Amino acid sequence: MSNASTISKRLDSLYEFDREPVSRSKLQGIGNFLGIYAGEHVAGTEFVIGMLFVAHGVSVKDMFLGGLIGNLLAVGSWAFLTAPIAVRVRLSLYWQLKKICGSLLVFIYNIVNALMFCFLAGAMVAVAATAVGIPFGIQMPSLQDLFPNSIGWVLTVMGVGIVITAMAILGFDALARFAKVAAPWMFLIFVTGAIAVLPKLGVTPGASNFWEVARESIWTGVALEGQSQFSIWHVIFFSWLANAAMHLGMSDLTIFRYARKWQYGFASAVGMFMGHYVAWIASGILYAAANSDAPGVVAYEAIGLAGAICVVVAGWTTANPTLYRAGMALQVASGWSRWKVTLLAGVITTTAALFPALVMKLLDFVALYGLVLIPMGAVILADHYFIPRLGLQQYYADQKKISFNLAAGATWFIMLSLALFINFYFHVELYFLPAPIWIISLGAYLLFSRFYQKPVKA
Amino acid sequence: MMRYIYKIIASAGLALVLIPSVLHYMDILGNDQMKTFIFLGTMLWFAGAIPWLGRKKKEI
Repeated sequence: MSNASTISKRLDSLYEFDREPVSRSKLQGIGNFLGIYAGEHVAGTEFVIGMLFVAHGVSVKDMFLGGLIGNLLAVGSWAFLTAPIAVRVRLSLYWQLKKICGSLLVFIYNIVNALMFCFLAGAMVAVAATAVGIPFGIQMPSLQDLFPNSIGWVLTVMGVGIVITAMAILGFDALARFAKVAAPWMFLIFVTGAIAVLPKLGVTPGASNFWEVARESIWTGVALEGQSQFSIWHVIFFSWLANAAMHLGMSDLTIFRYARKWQYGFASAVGMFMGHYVAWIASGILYAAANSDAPGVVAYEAIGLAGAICVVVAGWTTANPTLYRAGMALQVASGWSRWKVTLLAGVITTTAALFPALVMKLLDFVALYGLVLIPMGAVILADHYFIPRLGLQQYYADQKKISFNLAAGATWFIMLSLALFINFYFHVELYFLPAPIWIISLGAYLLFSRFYQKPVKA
Repeated sequence: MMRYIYKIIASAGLALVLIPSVLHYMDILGNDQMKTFIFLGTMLWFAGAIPWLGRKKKEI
């Protein structure tokens, strides 16, 4: 049996349970989607992102208005782009991609996705370590630290990484349920922490001076030393595209295929405005009142032990499903058992977590993560709406029984190369690249398909 | 019956997470007391919410 065929069979068996479109009897009500989005988007990353906005000199107007616009755009992307395709086709991302791109290209996509997941989980391990290290008095990394800064940090990260990996191997399901239980509490910890530090910042009841303090002490509009200056455009684009892989990249086809109506895409607003608006604002307030750059210390200073526990839980519950997803992708590549691939993902994750750069440069990493995956989302959208109108073949790989759709592969690799070229040579920041690259990818896939499919048709 | 008790415990926990910081902001509660109450609220939330919301069920 050839390697490609083996890989294809392994992938199919892994996703066997959702090979067919979701039947009408399995469709879910709006409540499920509200719950999923509320739970998934109040996570460990929120502690860091709000803090980094403050460090990058975002102003009050930038934060409140930019965050509002960016999150509305994100909700619109889910509602108008992802959900309509999901409810028409009712297939998961994997099966849609496989039909369009072929097994080999999906395999490559899965591996890239797995590595991105490992780095994201690594950032969460590092976030959790900033809380676990408090009782041991370890030297915490600061905004400027890109490499491990002490033996204590290395040992703490390794300890946290080992525990998180072991728990993911032993009880992923139980942890996933625990994450759902923790979500409402985590959101309130953000809110209560922000309220708790208001007096320290000089906001007093009856004085109506919140906006004045916010302007002068929190979102000052001046970046900290060594940090680039952010404008409202950074906030808009980052808020919009922080989850680009899920909406423009179409990962959430897997969720919305269960929706009764495409309008359920608006359920994402709950996650966006609780997690990516209120929680980011709250973590900015927490950071402004703190004497540290480490999320664990910031939360501990504000509300004590509950704050430190929240940072550990937030990091842990975000890392857990991330390790699981990475493990699934690696399982296909290696053919190993689940525990072995989760262990491998854990080793990669923990090694990455040793480098504080992953946390301190989280905004860049999140932008890169979206950028890497969204061209394939554009391919799915183009295949759904435009390919038939041009008289070309939908689900080309499936129809022609090929394992690598060259038009899709070329779109992905060329668009990524173009994005990196623009970033390196024209110094356009990563936050601004996913949206134009997604649009160009749409056109590129149609163009490449026109040339690629022609000889086969003839 | 137990489900209602768990709900009450969990809801009380959430209230105890939020209210102390508001009282602290209004200068009614000290910093250390606030932290203690928030920690107690955390424990109550998990004590009630794990048996209430953490049960195994089929989901998306």
